[in-house]
Amino acid sequence: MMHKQESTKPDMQIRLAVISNAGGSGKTTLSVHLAYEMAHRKFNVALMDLDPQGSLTLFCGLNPPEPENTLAAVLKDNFAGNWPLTNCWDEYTNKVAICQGGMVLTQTADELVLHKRGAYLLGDCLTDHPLSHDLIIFDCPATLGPLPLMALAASTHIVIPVQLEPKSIQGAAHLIEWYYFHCKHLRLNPTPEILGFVPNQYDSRRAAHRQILESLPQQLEAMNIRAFPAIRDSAEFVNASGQGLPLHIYRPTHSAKSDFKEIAEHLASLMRKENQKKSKKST
Amino acid sequence: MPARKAPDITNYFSAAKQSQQLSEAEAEIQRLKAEIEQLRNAGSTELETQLAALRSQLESTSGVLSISLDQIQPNAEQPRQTFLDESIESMSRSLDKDGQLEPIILIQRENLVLFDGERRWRSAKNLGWQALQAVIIPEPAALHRKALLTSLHREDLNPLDKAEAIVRELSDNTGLSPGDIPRDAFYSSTAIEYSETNECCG
Repeated sequence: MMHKQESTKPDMQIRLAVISNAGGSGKTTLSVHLAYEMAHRKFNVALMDLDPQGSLTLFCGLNPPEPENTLAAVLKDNFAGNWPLTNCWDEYTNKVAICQGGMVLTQTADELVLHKRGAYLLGDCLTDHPLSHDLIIFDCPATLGPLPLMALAASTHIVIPVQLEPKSIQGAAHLIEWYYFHCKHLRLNPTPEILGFVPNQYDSRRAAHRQILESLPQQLEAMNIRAFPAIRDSAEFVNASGQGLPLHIYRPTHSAKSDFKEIAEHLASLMRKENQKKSKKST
Repeated sequence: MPARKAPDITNYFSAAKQSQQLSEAEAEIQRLKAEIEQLRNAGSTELETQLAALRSQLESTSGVLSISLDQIQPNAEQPRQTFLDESIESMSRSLDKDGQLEPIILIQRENLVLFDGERRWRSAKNLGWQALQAVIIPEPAALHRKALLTSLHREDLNPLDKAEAIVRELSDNTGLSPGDIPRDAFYSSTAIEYSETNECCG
């Protein structure tokens, strides 16, 4: 039987899963900076940390949460709808909230395997207890296990950050196979769209980076997948994350913050389009 | 030290590209099957009337028999070659709920071959039934089997199935192999008809 994933999400809500199956590909960096960029464009954003490492907690300058204040509590059968959301960078914005992750999610991952709704649980939670945010970002762990699968099933779009190195590119290619297999296997309808690839930690002084950055778009174009501009390598990203801030707040004049502009604009135009459809319907 | 060459990422994506093509092909198959089903339903009224007349004629001459499913052979010349899983499932539900409403029609050859009722036959097998009610066409030659197959069924065929039925008919009558029959003439005319059909339905 088909599991039609009926959704009661707000018409314009985008749920973006940030997935890669290699560590250090810049998932959390991308999640955090996209969240800030979109908040800057007046959208409400919820960040969800599906990673047991809990990197988002660090990048948002928060303290490690109690297990009952993490996403693990949301995924329990007795969840009543009180999402444990904490505001991020609240001196600077009131538009970004985070549902934190942590080690307790390793246990959640084990339980998911046996749960009857396993891969659909997060989508179920968002259907039963909808969030009003314009954008929800799922920051996934670096393996293609049950947690990213659950994010895939709950998402409307996925974005794939890669390092410009053979191992990371090859991992991303495997991720595409994983995506097609599971979209079919889980009968995701509508199928989440691949927003595109985002090359990360680009060091223009390295020939291998330049070569891969040059040949990647051609490969992706053959599959009709978009390659966003590369995000440059900078020690300031590391420093900013250590302070729990996006680069935009940590070094407001740093030129690397413009690297997120195109993908943020693209997301914003998607959400505006959805909005227009909605207002047309209601007139 | 070996010379350093640029990393070639082309090979990395070959399996990913295959996954994508497979997924797109599967979606296309589903879409086409649904379209065929829709076309068939659109043109099936006249066929149903003719089948009903044939059925009642056979009922009055030889009566309705209970035929074991094992004795029934599918018809290799069945012009409908596409059966949606959903379509078999809905027939199974109907059989299970209401029982068999109309007898199926079989042709008496060496075996009993299905003339009308393949969907019910497939569904009955899925349900684990032993037998179906049937009427039998005793003399295939006298009834101009081929003429019946093409004229009766032609109305509710999608153009591709129809083209194949015509190729088969020509090949039977001329002794040419299907591959030798020039296809341009009627494939292009069915293509025109196909696009017209789509325009009128779309």
